[in-house]
Amino acid sequence: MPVLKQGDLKSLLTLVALVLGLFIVSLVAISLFMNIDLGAVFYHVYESTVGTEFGFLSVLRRTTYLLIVSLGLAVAFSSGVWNIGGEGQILWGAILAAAVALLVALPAPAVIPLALIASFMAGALWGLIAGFLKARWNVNEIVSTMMLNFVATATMTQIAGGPLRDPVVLIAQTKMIPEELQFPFIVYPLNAAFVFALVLVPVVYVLMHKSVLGYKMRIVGGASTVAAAAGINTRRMVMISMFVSGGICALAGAMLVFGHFFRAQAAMTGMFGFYAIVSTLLGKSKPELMFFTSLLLSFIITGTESLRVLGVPGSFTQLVVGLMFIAAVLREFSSRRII
Amino acid sequence: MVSGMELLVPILEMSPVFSLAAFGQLLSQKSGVYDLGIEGTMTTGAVFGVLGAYMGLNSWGCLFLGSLVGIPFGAALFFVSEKLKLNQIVVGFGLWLIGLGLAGSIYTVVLAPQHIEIEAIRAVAFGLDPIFYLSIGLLVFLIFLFSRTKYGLIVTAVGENPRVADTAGINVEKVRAICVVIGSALAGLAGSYVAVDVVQGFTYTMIAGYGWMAFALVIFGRWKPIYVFAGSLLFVAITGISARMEILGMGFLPPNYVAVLPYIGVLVVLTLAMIFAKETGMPAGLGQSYTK
Amino acid sequence: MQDLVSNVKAGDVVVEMRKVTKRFPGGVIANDHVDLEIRAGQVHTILGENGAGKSTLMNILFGLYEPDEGEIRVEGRKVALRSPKDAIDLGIGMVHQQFMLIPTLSVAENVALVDRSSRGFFLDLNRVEKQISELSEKLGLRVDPKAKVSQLAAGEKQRVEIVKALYCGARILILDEPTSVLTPPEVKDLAITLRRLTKEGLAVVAFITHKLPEVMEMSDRVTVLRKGRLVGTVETKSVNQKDLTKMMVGRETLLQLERLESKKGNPVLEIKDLSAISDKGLPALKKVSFSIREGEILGIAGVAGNGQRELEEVLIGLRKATGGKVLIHGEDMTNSPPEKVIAEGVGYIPEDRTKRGVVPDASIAENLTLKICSEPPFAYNWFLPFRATWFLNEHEIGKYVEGLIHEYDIMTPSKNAATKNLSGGNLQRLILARELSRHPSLIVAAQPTGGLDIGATEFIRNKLVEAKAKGAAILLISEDLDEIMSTSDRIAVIYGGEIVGILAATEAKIETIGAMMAGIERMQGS
Repeated sequence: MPVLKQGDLKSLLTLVALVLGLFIVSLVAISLFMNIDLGAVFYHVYESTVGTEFGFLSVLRRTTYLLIVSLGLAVAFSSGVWNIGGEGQILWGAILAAAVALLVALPAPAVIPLALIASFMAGALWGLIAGFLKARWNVNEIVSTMMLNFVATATMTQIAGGPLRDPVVLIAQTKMIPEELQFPFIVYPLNAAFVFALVLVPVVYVLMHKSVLGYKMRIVGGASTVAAAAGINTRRMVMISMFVSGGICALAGAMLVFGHFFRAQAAMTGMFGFYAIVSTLLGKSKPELMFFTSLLLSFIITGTESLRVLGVPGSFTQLVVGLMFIAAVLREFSSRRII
Repeated sequence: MVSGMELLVPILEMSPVFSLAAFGQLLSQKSGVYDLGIEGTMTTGAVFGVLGAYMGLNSWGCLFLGSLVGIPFGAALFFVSEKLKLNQIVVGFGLWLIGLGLAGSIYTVVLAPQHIEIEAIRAVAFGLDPIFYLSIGLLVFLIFLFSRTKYGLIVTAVGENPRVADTAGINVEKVRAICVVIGSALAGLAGSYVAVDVVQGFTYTMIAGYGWMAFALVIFGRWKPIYVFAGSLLFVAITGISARMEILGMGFLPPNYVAVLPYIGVLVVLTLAMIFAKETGMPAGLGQSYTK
Repeated sequence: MQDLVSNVKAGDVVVEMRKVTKRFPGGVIANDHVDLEIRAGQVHTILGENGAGKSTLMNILFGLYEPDEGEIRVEGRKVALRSPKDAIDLGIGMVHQQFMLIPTLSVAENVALVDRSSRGFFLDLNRVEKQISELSEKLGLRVDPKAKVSQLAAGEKQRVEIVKALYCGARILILDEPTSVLTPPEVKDLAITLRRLTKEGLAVVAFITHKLPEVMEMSDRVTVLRKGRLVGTVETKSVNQKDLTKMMVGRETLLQLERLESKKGNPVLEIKDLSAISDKGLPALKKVSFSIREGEILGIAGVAGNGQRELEEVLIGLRKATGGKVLIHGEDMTNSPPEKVIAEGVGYIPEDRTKRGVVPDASIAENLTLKICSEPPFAYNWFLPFRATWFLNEHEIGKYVEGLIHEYDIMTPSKNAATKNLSGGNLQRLILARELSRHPSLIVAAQPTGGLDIGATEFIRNKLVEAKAKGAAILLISEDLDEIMSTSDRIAVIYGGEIVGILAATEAKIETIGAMMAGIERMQGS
């Protein structure tokens, strides 16, 4: 079964065109608004992303975390469950990863897998709350996952400022994890987490497209009444879906702890839990496309961030990603008209 | 120990931040549209409130400017979700981020270097300013609207079952457009109120989460104006308490969790409603765009 | 709200439809030069089987469709009805089968929604409530203006709809299958209500498809349609039920397919005193009993809405039975979930293909895999060192799917094409392929040839007969009497949730079946 088909390719190109188009428009807008030379703007974007080795590696680095979360969200979205709780699930993953790293006195080859399992379970159980509420009582998952995000943030602040706290600094963050647990760099700034993310792609793909479970989840997402009539336990599928989705998103948190921050704090998610929704939607929840959509989004974010040196505020990034949401939704629209 | 009145006034004074935004969200949701961009609208309203002062407007002008800013947000939400029939939730999130980005950018570029003085609105009665009384007025108006007027009935019908409303000759699109835009304007007003009256300036974290609280309030209040208002007082109280826990002698409770009690509250209320209540109050047509 | 008194006298013609013709794409002629006269002060019924064209004719009168040919006159004037608004302005009101009411609002609030006279800001619910009470007393329509619609029974909701229509000034009232949602006592109430309305000078048109006893009781005149054409219009008092049945159903020829005689084996499905309630809370199945043996097709004849859908759903496990037993191969499968029922060897061809049959966005291959996805050899352990059925064996599935596409002649460029583009006939082939290839011992087939062209219809019927020859027991639920008569070994007629007769196909006469479907006959001991 071919992975990418012709129709996919055309729609992908439309998508890239739409996204880049909006990006360029926003770049032009900011240059006009702030009276910055447009050439300088484009130069910085270029240089910070594809123009230099460091830039490109930074893009890849950011892609790592976006990719993991996108994969997690893809599992949920394709089952018809809107998991907006990525942020909270990432945080739980980070909490457990930091906790295990700081508290378990075992050699690295034992600690890291343990931490990953713990992370996954934490995020999975957190996601399961919303999944259970939806399956059992039909509680709207958008509301429930969003509320749980806040609770997760509070938990992180509590723990990072409490039991695991780094006494040296004033803000609530945990102590740094031991050096031997910190992931090595492949090429600075790209670290081993990137490999993990890449490995996760085929894993999720196999889950979604080659396993019986993934098939059932997708059928439930496609038409839940048909699934029920075919004997699939739709409630169980919803819960499993949120469990797996939450777990995967949590792994992103673990990666952030081991590969980037080497500690945990509330502000570490970088809004990935939300930003990844864009790449998941752009990739229509297909695992094989997640890398490319995450890469595209990472490119845009990294490029926008680089404009800070020109005086462009950091908030501008949020604006651009917001436009990307609109692009994701417009793509639906255009694919209806221009088949 | 602080006296009752001293506790009450700050709560009431701060309440319009939540109640105005929540009323706006209520209006939008009653007509069937989720406004998930509310946090962005509020933040942009706040920035424009300060911008107004920078441009020399008085406090009232700033507030007006803030609410004006809500209009394009509402219009965009309506257009993309109802006219183009695209996913309300995704569009809402997009507008949220756009709002945050826009606000932060304008602040950093235009305002941060300046020192802005905003004159607070003078209190009118009982130490409370006119905006508070406006929120009371709005509460009364909304209660009245939904119980005694044809327009309220129309909005409710559009949110419950747009098809039935359509067959009754109601222009569903028009009703939703009006509700969404007014709803956004109120959110913008609430945002600028924070800037003008509460904080008298702009800081990055000033709106942090208030928009989401307003969103949660509508659900918490089961889509009824009076409960939403009561809830807004409750949420203000909780937010205030969580910031002052040491002083109040409640230092033994984890402050972070107290601050998120409203969110936990919403979750609990919604779950209980789904389990037990025959009627959750949720408009049955919420979240779906209407196609004839 | 307009005055009920008008210049029209009882007996005057208020609506005239002349040579009204409506064609739909696909060559269907829903109405073929139909003439109709509706008179004030009378209850006029439109009678006919499914597909006779009744709904279309009335939808044209209410402005939901425009006729291709013919003219319509209201009170003598020629009119063009382009939308319901035009109809309402002319005094034509319609009460649909699906009530256009908002459950969380009160009766008065629902009526106020359509009230055109008050354009003001304020809602004078008191005035509306008073007017409703007045109207309701005058006409004997018991309606509580303050009650919340969600708490009303179907009969009450219907009365609210009638009041709503009258409120908008309707003098000609169209009721779409009004008795289908009512209990017997409510039906009696409706009859009284209609009488009162006509006494006030209204013209009432009810199209009741098949419940002849009610037609006889409630109407003054009856128009019978068959396959889009007008059979005739008669005064009710001058005909009896048998005459009407003949007009409704009377066929000259009957397609007699070769009925394959096959050996009948042990009972596969046994239903004893099965009861269930519909979504609206009314009893839908009332102590239904029958059994089907291996190699036998039992056809359930009946007009839609008599409990067939609920029967289908209960058998498959999608709806709770409130009483009775379902035995498959002797095992008690009452209220078992679909998973178990399917595992017991039951195949399901649902009536609602989009809701229960196929996933539109999934590929054809994925849809075909729906029932076998957990079974070896289609599910296997791939690389795992232990026995498991965790992964889809694409090789095996591919072979299987290709085989099915070939055997069932599903027209598609590839097995990975999206299902939503398939035509109705191909869709049904897909469903059939998926179900029959598992060699189920019991097949529940609901409206299997509904909406299909001749080619597809023949193919499907042949496949079912083939399955029967191989020993499957088939429950065939169909509104198509021809199909039932020609394919079944035995025929059961369902009416009002009860089985009113079971007979061997060879003994069945179409008039008898028709009469049972219309509720005017029951077999002894049913």
